[in-house]
Amino acid sequence: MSRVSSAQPRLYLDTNIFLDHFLGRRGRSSDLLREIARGQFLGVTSHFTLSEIASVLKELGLPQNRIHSIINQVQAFPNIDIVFHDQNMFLDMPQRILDTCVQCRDALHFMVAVFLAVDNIVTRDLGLKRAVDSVILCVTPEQLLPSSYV
Amino acid sequence: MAKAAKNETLENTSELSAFPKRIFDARSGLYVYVLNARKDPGSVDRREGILSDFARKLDEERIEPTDLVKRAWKTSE
Repeated sequence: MSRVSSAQPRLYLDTNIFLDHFLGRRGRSSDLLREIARGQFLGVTSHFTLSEIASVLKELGLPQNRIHSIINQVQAFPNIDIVFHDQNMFLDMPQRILDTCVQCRDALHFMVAVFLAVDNIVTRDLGLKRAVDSVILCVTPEQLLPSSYV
Repeated sequence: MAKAAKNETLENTSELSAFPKRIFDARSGLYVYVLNARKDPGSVDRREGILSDFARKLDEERIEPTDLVKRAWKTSE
C-alpha cells in the first residue's frame, strides 16, 4: 500500500468527498484528490465506499454503463488504496461501537479507518464526525489544505 | 474472496489484476486485502465535475452529497 513515503499523513476518504469531486462542487475535495495523486497524502478508502457511490449514482438515474465507468475511474485514482473489509477488522468493533455509538453505516467506514491506523477521516458528514472524532479526528479538505493552495 | 486473492508482500503489488490482493501494510502492521486496480494519473482531472448537471439541481434543492448517501441507504431498505 505505501507506494510513497510513509511520512505522508494517511487519510480515509469518505464517500461524500468523491461525490463532491464528480459533482464539481465548490470546496477543496477535488484539490485534495489531486494532492493525494501527487503524493502529498496517502489515501485509503473501503470497497464499501464504491458501493455507496454506485448506490447514489443509481438513485440519480445514471445508466449502469455510466455507473461502471465512474466506479472504474475511482479505482484508477492514484495513491488511493481501496481496502476490502476483513473479518479481523470486526474483532474490536463491538467495544468501539459502544464507545462511540457510531451508526452501522458509518461503522463500516470507521472500522477500516481504525484498522489501517489512519491519521484522519476526511468527511463532510457531521454525524460521523460527532461519533468518532474522539478516536480519529475527522476533517474537511479545507482543513487539510493550506489556504494559499491554488 | 480469499480463494481468489494472492498473498503478496508490499513490494509485489504493482502487477495488474482484477482481484483483491492480500498485502502487508507496514503502517498498521497488519495484512489487508486491497483492490489491485490500474492507476491512471490523469483520472482525477478528467472526472472532475462530470455530474455537474446534477449539481445544479441539487444546489437548487439544497441537497448535500451526505444527504444523497443517506437517501440511497433509505431507498435500499
